[in-house]
Amino acid sequence: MNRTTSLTFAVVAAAGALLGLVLARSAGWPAAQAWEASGDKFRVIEVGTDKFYNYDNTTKDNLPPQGDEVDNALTMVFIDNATSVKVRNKLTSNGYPDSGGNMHERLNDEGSWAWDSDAGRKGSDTCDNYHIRIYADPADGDSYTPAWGYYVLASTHKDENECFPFNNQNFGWGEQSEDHFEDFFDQWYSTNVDYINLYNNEPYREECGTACFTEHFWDNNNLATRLFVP
Amino acid sequence: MSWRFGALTRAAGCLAVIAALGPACSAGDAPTTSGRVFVFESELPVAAPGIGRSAASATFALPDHATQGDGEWYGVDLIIAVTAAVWPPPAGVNYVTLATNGLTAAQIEFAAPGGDRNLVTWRANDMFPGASHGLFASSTLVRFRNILRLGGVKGGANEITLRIEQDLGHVLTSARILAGSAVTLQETLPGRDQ
Repeated sequence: MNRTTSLTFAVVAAAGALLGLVLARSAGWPAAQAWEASGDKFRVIEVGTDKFYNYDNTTKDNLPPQGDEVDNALTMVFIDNATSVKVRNKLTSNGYPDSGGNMHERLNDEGSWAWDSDAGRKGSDTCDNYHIRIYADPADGDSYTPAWGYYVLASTHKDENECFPFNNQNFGWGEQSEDHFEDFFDQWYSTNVDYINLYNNEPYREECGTACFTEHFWDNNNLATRLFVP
Repeated sequence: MSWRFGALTRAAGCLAVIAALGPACSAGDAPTTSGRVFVFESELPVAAPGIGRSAASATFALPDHATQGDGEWYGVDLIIAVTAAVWPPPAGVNYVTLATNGLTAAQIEFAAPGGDRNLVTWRANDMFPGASHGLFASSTLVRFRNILRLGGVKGGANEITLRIEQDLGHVLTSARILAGSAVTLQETLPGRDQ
């Protein structure tokens, strides 16, 4: 094989590999990359008789849920008169029509533990988008406790480089995305920024996925934004 | 709107006053007992003419020392009559909600798929065990029980508000809490796994 042939083969092989990765990702493979909450931050939060974990998980195959199989920290709590339908409708009707892959939240509203799964809502930009997932008791579309009333939980993050050539498909920036969605919902709901301690503080760090094809840029304080749904 | 009610407490003296004066009566420092502590003697109706929100409010009295929690859990035991807007109901999601002193403690979702699948499904989340859901064609009765909010209970006069939310379509035309509905009191919260 001469030098030209060798170079051509290498280019074709590289292009094939890249195409394979693109096709694989568009087909949903590989399975969701799991990420790891720092230290002992992954825990159950109790609000009266209700309980929930303070991160969502990439899989619902393992019980109890594992802190090294998380996706993002919870960053928002919608209270008083919230339902998943109400919150999602605000998003869908106002610039967040798309969704991503399902993630899973383990919660206990009616006296027994259950998983709720959500693909979330995100913008329709071809490359970079803010993304929010909404979780509540899957039987009802909301959860209830005398302290908060009818509430739903949310994790937030920003997706980056979700377009060709799909290099460096990074995500994270939880605190920045929490601020972004607080600004969005502020036009309908009264908000208290950084109000509820969910004990999921994640100082800035970069967590590398498989072959660093994707990186998770962690950055989150303990405090979730509270939104009062009228 | 004033709302007459009766009280089933051991404060027999106050019971007579309540019957005479309605919401203006405070149960004072009367001893409380578990069960249906106030029974509403008249309906609280809300009409929903179209897209948006409609509400009606009334007042009821609790003992002066009433607070929520710590061995005294106030709740509601309601029968709510609901009527769908037209036949078949158009697609949409409506809510019937109830709040005491501005804090939501009842939320019933009514969803209509529209088209030829013309039944309305409803579901509600409360703290009592058992499923709370159903479906109907043009009208139905929903029994709803729940524990009121922390901060949703105070001594003396309390405000109760029934509301129809039609932000997402016009599924319902009216809702009313029927006479015989009650404010309840119990010492412990409904059962939970620990």
